[in-house]
Amino acid sequence: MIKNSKLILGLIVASLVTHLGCGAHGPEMGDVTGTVTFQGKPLHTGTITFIPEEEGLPLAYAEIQADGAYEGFTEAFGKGVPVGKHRVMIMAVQENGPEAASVALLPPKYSSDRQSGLTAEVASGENKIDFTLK
Amino acid sequence: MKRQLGFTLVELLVVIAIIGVLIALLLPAVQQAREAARRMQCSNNLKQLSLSFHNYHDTYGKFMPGGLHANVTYPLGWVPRLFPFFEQGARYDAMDALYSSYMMNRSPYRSHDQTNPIFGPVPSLSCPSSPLGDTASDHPITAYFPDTQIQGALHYRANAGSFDVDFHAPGDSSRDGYVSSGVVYPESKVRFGDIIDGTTNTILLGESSSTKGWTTSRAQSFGGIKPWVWGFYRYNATDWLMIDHKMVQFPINYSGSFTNNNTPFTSYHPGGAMFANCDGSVVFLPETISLDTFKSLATRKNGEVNSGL
Repeated sequence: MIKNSKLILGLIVASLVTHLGCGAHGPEMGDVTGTVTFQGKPLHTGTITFIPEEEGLPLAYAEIQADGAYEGFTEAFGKGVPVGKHRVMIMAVQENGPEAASVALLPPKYSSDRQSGLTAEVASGENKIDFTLK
Repeated sequence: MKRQLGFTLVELLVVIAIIGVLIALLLPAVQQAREAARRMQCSNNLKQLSLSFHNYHDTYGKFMPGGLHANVTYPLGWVPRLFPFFEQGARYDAMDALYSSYMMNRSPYRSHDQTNPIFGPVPSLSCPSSPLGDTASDHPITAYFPDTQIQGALHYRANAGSFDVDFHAPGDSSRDGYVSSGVVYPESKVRFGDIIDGTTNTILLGESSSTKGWTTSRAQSFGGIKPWVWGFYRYNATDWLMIDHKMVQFPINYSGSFTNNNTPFTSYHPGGAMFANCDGSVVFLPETISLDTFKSLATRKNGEVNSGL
């Protein structure tokens, strides 16, 4: 019996050891919040995409709320944006329901990370980054 | 000491635990095998379509335009023009039997023959991994579009080019612009000779078969995954809706806001989507691909060097 309990103990320890390192260890993240204004008024809808300058980091997104506020998240790791420099693109659309064309609310250049001229530098911890669009 | 017969309870439990672990390893693998099979089917679809594009090019000397000046609103696009080249010639002939030069004069999307089974599901046009099915059924029935459960789905869109290259601003700013840096776009006449980046490095078709994360109104607007019977819409010489061909503007599997001509490429295959290149090769591009690389694969003559796909 003593032999068996040692065996079981061994199995338990082995299973614990093999589970170590299986947790979702993402890249270093920082919380990013802020507001988006367009022509002086808060933008009431839209999606922000954060495209990391460094290869291999996940893309981060943010949905703009009715008051212009947003909070960055990644699909894989939830709240937060990878730490580092990002190019930023913003697409805001007036959706007109079924069987109709959607209408862009911003000039086309803001919906490309290479044309928007918007950037974000994210540090670990809290970040407040506001975007002012013209 | 008397030798014990049979197993003790603990030994039995250990054996059961080991078998349990083995099954737990195996079962997800079985599910992955099913998905791998569906992905292979999707890859076959793209292969067939891209070979048909090659045969179309052999016949006409160029790829078909994404949009042209038809005599009707909501006209048919590249899909029916490709029918004779992937063994749907009978369907093509049946359309012409309904009305002469059907494609230039009739539009089943809203106006004509909407419930005719000719305009139902077509083999090779839908991805088996997509729960949207082989009709355009993610769409509600509306007065303009009562036959959503009948018309066939289209899960593959032609590549109109990169949003950053050769963008044509619309005349009316409430409409989308279009791009002409790809292979199929309004009034295009692209030949193989025009694909200077190399046919291996230029996307021909991409998968758009998932509405995961989209708002309902996003999925149902003109930017949604429309049936194959709707190819494009010409407002005027500068303003176009691109329905069966799209520009590359967003990352793969993007689920945020978009308008009409820039519907993102999406799929239910884990982690990316399938694409066919102009040389007929079919590749799986991961959603983690850099947006710059993805956009440079969309241009046909911009001279980018793509490395480390």
